[in-house]
Amino acid sequence: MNLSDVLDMGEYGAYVWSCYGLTLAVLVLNVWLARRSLAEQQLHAKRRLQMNSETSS
Amino acid sequence: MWLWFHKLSSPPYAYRTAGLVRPWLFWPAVLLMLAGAFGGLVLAPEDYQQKDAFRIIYVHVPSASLSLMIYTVMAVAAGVGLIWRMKLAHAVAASCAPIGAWFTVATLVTGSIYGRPMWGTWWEWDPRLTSELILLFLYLGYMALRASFDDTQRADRASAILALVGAVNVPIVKYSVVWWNSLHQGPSISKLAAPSIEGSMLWPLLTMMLAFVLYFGAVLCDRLRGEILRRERNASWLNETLAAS
Repeated sequence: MNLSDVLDMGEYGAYVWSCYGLTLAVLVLNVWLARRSLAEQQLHAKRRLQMNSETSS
Repeated sequence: MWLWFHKLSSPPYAYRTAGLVRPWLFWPAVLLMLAGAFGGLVLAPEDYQQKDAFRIIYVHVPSASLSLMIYTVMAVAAGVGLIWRMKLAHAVAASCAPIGAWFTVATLVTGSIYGRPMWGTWWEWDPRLTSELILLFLYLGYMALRASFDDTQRADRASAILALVGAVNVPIVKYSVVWWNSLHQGPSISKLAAPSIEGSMLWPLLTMMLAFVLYFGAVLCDRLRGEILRRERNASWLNETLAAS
């Protein structure tokens, strides 16, 4: 099997590659969303702790 | 075992453990996905009926099995949270929902693209397709219900009941192709005695399925850590942990 065969996928290239592309997008998106929500919560928690220490001091 | 379970249910321990475990799940998942994709796209021979279009199974089937597995994890965690009043279990359930919803979308979209050349239609109100769509609505309903409460404890309890009631849909999705006449093909790999799929086509699929499960574990670790932080107010351990990070 050469490269053009792999890219063409017979007559099904558009179907096969769009499925792989969409799945890859979902995989990348989920990692990004999870990392972003973790970073946001870390920032919020730090701010909260800072405010608490300022009000208590 | 119980001691470990008890220890893991403490938020600081779970937060740190999830951070430590995550890379050990994520990087093997990436490597296995690359191996599975290469096996599925290049090494596996074309199918005698579906030709190269069958290669869609290497992303469609792992997404579909993950969409059901995540719901099962979510419902079990919600049940544990409800019965034993374990906050961490509710945090696990809440972290599962968005990941599960995304993989249900991936399943429906890749299935639709697969259906077009194979069945001649993008969509059919078929038992398997319809029950998978209901699964998406259950995930969305669970998230909407959680979002409608300001009080986390009330959100936990109400959404846990929805997750448990919705769990009835999981076996319906799984066995819909056996119970009813479905356009969707029947199971091919769960027949352990004699899987009706050739070895060179099977190993990339099993590799991909394992990779997706590990990937879910890694993403769940991040989501769970975020969820723990959201719930923990003024806890003294946060000071130490966040100062160190």
